[in-house]
Amino acid sequence: MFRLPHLLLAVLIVVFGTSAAVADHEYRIVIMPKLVGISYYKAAKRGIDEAAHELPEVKVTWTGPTQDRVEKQIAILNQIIPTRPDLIAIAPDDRVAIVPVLEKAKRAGIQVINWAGETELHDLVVNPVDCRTFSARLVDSLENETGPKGEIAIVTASFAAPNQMRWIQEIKRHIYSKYPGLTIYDIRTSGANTEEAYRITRDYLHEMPSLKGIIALGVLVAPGVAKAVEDAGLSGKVAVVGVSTPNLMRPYVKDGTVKTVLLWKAKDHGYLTVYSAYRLLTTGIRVNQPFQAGRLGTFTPQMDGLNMQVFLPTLVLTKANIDQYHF
Amino acid sequence: MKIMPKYHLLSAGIILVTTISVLVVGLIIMNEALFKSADKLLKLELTNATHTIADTLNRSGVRAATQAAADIQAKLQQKEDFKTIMLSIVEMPDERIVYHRGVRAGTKAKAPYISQMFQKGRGHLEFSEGGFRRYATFTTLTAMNWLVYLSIRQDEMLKDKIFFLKVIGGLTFLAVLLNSLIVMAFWRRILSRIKATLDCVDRIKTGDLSARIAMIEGEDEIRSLQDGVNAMSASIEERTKARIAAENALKEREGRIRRLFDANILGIIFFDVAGQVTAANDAFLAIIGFDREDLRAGRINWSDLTPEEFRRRDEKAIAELIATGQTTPFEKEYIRKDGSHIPVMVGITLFEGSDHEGVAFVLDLTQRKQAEEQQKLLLDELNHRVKNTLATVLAVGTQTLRSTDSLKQFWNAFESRLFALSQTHDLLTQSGWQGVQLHELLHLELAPHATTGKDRFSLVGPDLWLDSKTALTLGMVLHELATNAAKYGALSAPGGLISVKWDLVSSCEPVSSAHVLHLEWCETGGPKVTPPRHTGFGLRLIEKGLGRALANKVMIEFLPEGLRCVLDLSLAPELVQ
Repeated sequence: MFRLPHLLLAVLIVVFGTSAAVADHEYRIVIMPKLVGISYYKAAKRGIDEAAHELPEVKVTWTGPTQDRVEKQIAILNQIIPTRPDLIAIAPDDRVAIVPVLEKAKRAGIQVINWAGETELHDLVVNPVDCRTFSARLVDSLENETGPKGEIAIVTASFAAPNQMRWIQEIKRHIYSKYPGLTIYDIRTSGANTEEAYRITRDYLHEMPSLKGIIALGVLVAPGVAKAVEDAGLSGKVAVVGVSTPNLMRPYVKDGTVKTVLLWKAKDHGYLTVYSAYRLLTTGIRVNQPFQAGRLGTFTPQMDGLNMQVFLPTLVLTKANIDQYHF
Repeated sequence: MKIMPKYHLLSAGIILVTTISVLVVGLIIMNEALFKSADKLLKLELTNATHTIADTLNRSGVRAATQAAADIQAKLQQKEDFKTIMLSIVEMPDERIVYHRGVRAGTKAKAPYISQMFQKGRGHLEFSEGGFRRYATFTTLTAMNWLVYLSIRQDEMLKDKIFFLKVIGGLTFLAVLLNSLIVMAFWRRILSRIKATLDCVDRIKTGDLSARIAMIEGEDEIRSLQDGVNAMSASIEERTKARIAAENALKEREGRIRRLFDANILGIIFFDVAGQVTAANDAFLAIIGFDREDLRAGRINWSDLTPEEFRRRDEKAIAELIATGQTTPFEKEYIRKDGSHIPVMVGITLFEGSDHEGVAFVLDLTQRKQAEEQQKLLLDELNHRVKNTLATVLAVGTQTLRSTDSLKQFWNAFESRLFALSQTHDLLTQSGWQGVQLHELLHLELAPHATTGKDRFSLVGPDLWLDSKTALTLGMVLHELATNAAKYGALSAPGGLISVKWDLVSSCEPVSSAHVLHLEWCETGGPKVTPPRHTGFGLRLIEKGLGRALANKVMIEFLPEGLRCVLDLSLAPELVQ
């Protein structure tokens, strides 16, 4: 369907040979976070810039909404697609709602990478972590504090965010298979809102005095949960395990309210995304065929369900190592 | 089979078939419609429920969402058509139940249809559970990877069917029934008209010429039929009347002919030209001497009846018959059964329009022929008699002349004798010259002398018929005896008596078988008798005439007391009775 523009391009290349050489060496990549301005994506941006610096033929455009609203992402993508970038890497805010606009991009000959949470439409997923092992580690860490029996609860940013939903599924799967004594009292969403997470946690503690632990999914969620537990004077009694950044969690880790924070290096996430995009555009990426990603070394693409993915190693933050990280 | 029972059977069948068809087709459509509407309703409820659950989930989390599901379940169950509805939520990894009434959350869903639903993502499904077929419509809450489904028992889904069965089935039944009743009423009217027509036709069949359909109504085919039947009946009546009139005329004519035929005045035969006699009346049969059995057996053939010598005459008659249709009456003869011939007069005519069949009128001419013969005989007889009479008169005259002395005496005697002869003639003429009774003859001759008293005659003897010849002769003899008695014998004296006795005696002569009349004339009481000087004409006539003519014996005795005459006369045998 879109062969004609390609053909036209080929003709143009032949006619204007000199400019063809320039086009050959430049890859325009658009990278979109869920929202701009939060610390995680700021850190990721640094990795992106670093990689882009290392790869001069790659030209990265960083753009995204200022709110975690999928329709904003869709609106921006609709403006970008006519400019014909070579690749779009997106951290979708809603894995279903985003699909049509991604289909449009694919039809325009643009390759698509999901770089935080997969959608149904992509060429590659650059996962910050391997969801299964990451979720299992979350549960294991919590169980380490609560024991194999009792009720736990989950607070998540959204039921729509693909990576969080995936984590919840894997958490459940792990609990069902490994700790049948643990039951999930409830799962509630707070949005990317620390205050809401705080309020939810307070409700949990009020409703369920026997609650043994809370899993907090979301960079801005975990500090709210930790603060609520701490404020309730339940530090050490109600375990909190979260996914967040070292800067936001540092006080609660240090005072013992939170023993384990799981994360990946956000900067590396951005860095790997640019390298993956570059490899996809130049040599192509195949399952089980390792490729070099700059300073991070080699990554081997794997199948995760139906997705081909590459992922970063999990970063486990504890009282012992948290001060080494500042983002 | 008649129309109405046929119609009843047919309409009952139609009612049954139509009702069943409507019910079957209706049920199929209804099932489909009920399914569709229930499906639509379920889908709508599912969408609503899913939205509510998703909203609640996003706003208040999983527990609230399951509570919302429980609320929805309770609310749905209160609805009229959802008594058996079940809202269920199953989560994707591990197929654990999130919400299902009466089941703890987190329990593993074991039903195989759950996997099918997960695979399909959204749609509908039928399955059996708890002994009931259930219908489920389902969708997936993508964010949570939750399968949300609403299921309902199919019997509840289709429960309006019963209502439908009652209402639509009943209505259809009633409608078709009503229709068939109306049609039946219509048919009844038609049939009554057809029946009227049939009755009329039956009456026509039984010969009722005045049969007409009285009530003719409407403007339809039956009307045309009835008009046609009436017209036909009228036509039949007209033609039958004409035919009856013709038949009556024919019958009358036939009757006349029959009367003529049976009157047997004439011989009548029906025949064909070939010679066969097909019918004949008794008169004809009598003429030819055949009987009816011969006729029936076909043994009578007029050409066979015709003697050879009349064949030519027959041929001539037939030629005339063929030419003109009839013959002028002609005479011929037939051969009777006994072989004798009989004279007949024949007139023949052919039947109208036929060239080989006809009727012949046959008149027996035997009597006429006999009459003709008799006449001839009579003429001969008359001639003879006249000659005889003249001879007798001449003889009487001659004899009288000889025995008389004067002319006056002669005339008196001659006149008296002629008178006596004439009287006997009269007597004979009265009987047609067949003959006279002896009594009558005696009375005739003696009557002129009876004036002086009856007791002077004694007549004793049987009735006896005398032929004319004997009568004439005997008449003359008696005249002479009576005249003699009046002149000289018993009648000349006042106390004289005459006794006449006669009887039939058998002849003693072997040559003649004839009877003999023995007659004695005896006179007494008269003057004393002396034999006469000379025999007078009278006695001579007696002695000679009788003796010569017919008497076997004549004896006259002049006894002193009176004359006695004895006569023996031979009589023809047929005269003796």
